[in-house]
Amino acid sequence: MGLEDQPEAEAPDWFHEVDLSGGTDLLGDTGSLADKLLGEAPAAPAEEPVPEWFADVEMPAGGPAGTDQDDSELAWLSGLGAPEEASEEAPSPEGEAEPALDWLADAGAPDFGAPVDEAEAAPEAEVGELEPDWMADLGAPVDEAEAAPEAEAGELEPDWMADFGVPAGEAEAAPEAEAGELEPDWMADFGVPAGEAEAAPEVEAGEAEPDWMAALGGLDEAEAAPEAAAPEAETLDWMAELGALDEALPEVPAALEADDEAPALDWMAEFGAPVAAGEVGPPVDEAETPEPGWMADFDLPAADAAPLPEPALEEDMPGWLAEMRPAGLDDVEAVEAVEETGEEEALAPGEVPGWLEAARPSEHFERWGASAPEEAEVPEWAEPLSPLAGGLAAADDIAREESAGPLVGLKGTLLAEPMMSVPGAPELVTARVVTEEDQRQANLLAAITRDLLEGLEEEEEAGAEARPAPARRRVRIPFGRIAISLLLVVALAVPFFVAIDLDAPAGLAAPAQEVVNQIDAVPAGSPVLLAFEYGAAEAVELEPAARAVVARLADRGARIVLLTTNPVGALVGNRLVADVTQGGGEVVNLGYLAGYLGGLRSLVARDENPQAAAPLRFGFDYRGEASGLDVNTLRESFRLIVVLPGQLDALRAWVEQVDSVTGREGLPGQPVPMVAVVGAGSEPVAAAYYESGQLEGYVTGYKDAYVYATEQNAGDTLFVNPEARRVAVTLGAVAAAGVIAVGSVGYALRGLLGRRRRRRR
Amino acid sequence: MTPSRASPPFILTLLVLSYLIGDNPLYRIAVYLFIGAAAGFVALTVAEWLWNFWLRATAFNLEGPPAQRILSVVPLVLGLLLLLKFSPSTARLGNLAMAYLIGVGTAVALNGIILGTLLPQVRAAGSVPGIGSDVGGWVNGLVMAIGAISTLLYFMFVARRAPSGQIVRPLPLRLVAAVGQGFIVVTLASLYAGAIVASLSIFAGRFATFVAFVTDLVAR
Repeated sequence: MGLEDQPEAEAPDWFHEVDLSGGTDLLGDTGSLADKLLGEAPAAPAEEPVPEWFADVEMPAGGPAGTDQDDSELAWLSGLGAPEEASEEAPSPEGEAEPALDWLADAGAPDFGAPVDEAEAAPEAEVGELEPDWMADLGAPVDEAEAAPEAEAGELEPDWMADFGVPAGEAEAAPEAEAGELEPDWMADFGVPAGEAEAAPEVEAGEAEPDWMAALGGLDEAEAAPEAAAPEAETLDWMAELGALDEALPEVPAALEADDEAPALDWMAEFGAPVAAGEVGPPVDEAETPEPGWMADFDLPAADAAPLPEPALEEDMPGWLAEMRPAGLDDVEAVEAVEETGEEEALAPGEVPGWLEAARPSEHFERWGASAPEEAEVPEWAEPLSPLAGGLAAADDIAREESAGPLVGLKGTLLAEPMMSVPGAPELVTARVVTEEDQRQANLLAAITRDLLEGLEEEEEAGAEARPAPARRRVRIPFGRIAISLLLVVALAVPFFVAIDLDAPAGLAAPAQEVVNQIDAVPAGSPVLLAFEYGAAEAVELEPAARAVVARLADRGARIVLLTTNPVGALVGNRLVADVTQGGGEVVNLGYLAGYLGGLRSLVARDENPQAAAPLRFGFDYRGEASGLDVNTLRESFRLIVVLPGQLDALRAWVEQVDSVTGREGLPGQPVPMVAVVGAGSEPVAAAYYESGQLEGYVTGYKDAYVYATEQNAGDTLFVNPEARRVAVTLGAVAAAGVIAVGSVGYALRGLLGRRRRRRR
Repeated sequence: MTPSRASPPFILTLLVLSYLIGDNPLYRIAVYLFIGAAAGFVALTVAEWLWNFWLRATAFNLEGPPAQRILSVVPLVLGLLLLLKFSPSTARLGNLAMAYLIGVGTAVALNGIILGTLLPQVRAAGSVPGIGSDVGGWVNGLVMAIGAISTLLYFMFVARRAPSGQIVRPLPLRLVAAVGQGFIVVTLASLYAGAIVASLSIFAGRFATFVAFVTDLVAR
């Protein structure tokens, strides 16, 4: 509810007693304040009728004579007590509001709206529950203090509070403190920075209300009450009332408007603690006066305490304001007299808070909680590093004691940049300039480096002399390796000296039998391509099977054509075939085929594409002589392809590059079957190709060769001591498997024991 | 085999077996001899092939068609460019021949792998035994299918980051991958066993030759 809504009878009586005819300073001040408020809040229409209660006020025709807002003219207001009957007569809907505007008698807030707002705030308050002590000292009504916690300061804070110049950040700096939340921003302007608001965080609003706020007493409560209880619209309404009033008043000088904020603070500062505490406070001047006692309670840093402006003289107080001045303000006058005469030294010095005393820089190290270190002896190796040694610094510089800053009391500190940096564009460096100082530093660095290097060399020489001669290299005999080798050798050698009867395989395996079948299917005189892809290293393993295959092919009268992508294979194949056939049969050795994969692919190029050139490789044997072969394509010319790979790659190359074409259905000619003679290491891959149908069959090493030779009764002609060799391979395999099994068990046991040992640790 | 012919293999075999006591000059002599002989034979074979089967058949075949003789110069030039890689200053000129070799080799290899191994193996793995096949065929097909799928899934590194920050594979994938890992272990073990048996067979063959040599030598 604004003042404009109130009937005349509800206007405070004390306000009727106020004679405003003396001037418009006060109104002008209020009006300027209202101007600011109206600038942010919805502007009250200028046509609104002036309330009747205000019509009784005599307004002067002119503005105030002075342009500066006098704090002194407000200072006396500290003693201007609002009439108690005004608050007593204020409406109190719930009847709980105390007629507690007694504090106004002490604070003397010239608050026009206070009685109304207090009356509105009263219903929300619970009297006496949270009344802080300081309020009791001030005699402030409790309901206003209690109204604050129930209100959300941020929401209800009217804009006019912002006119007190409180930065928003300061109010937000104490988010956790309820006091901070409820405390209006303008309170912070009275000397409580954000950091101090954080210093008393989790205290209830009523409890945390500092004493200095008590000093602000009447004004705080008079204005906090409407914030707490009155809706914002109503709060603004009565302000708008003031704004309307301001517009109705004579024009305020511009200078006064420009300085409207400071006076508002000043007169509040005047309401400060000394008055509320019943003391006469000196002018607030942090630089010259000691911190007052009421501020010491807050542990405020001296630098943070906002200096309050010195109250202005009373000279400019207009007459009408002087007439309003109540009696009994002698104490204030005494204070002002002291201020004017500059007798500040007469004031008792305040006590520096403990925390501030602790922060006082001491002369020496006591501030760090330690005594000054004794001068230690500089080791020899560090002496060259001393600035004195290199002449980089004078003794006076070393002895200089730091007199300020965190290093105060220390000697020998490095000076700041000896030369002031001059801003501006850098000059073009046209030549290297070596100053004397540069030369001294270079000499020092060279001396240090030389000394260090010499020291290192000496240490190294001394270490080399003291180091014992390297011990003779110990020859570690691999007993484990020798033991395993001996075991295998014995297993492999025994069958050659002792007859051991081991059952031989019943017959050829299916893949080997397929090889026999494919060989038997080759017509006499038909070319069969033999790819000898193994060298001397694999010859011992593959030769028995190769011999058996070549022998059977020779028996069938096939025309054997040798080809290889392994240069050594041509030699191995030529020797084997010559040894088996004994010069009989028709054998053509084409020798080496270059290009590996590309060479193999070139063999079947015309099989895939009849337009491609015929393979040239079949025209000449390994000696460069005409081979007598008329090979157009492999599918047309050969009846069987036998691959004898020593390694997996060779078998895969032949299958991928050749058999993928020669064994494919749908191409010209007939598919050419491919079989292989592989070692035991290549058997898994050959088995995969056999299962997929890419290989028609395969013979594995000595095992199948022995069975084949036995069936053909040709064992002794093909191999040396075939039975003993078979048993030797069998025993060797068993010995190897035993070694692997024993090793695996031992390794597992060692791992388990090691794990258990680690668990015990 | 006469003792004179069997002596060199017998002595070389002993030199190689001396590696049982560690690396020693005797073993190195045998190895150097083997490598040197093989390298020399390869060089001789290649050079002979180059002359007999390339130059004589193409560039120097005066009876051949001119186009064949001209085209035979192209690989000859490429081969000469490869020789320029001996010098760092001219090595870049050999890159052309290297590019040709790598490009053609890669294309041929990929073609062979896809058509010669991958597709046939996939087709074989996917072939379900017929109704008339025996139980063994069904089991074999089932094992092949499980092995192929689980082994392929073992190499599928799809994982997600757990809240603890560790990268873990989903549980089903981990289980299948563990089965695939088992198949991989079995495969590698069989390959290793085959290599051991091959070595034993070679050693047995060498030892048989040694015994025969000694027996023949003593009999004489």
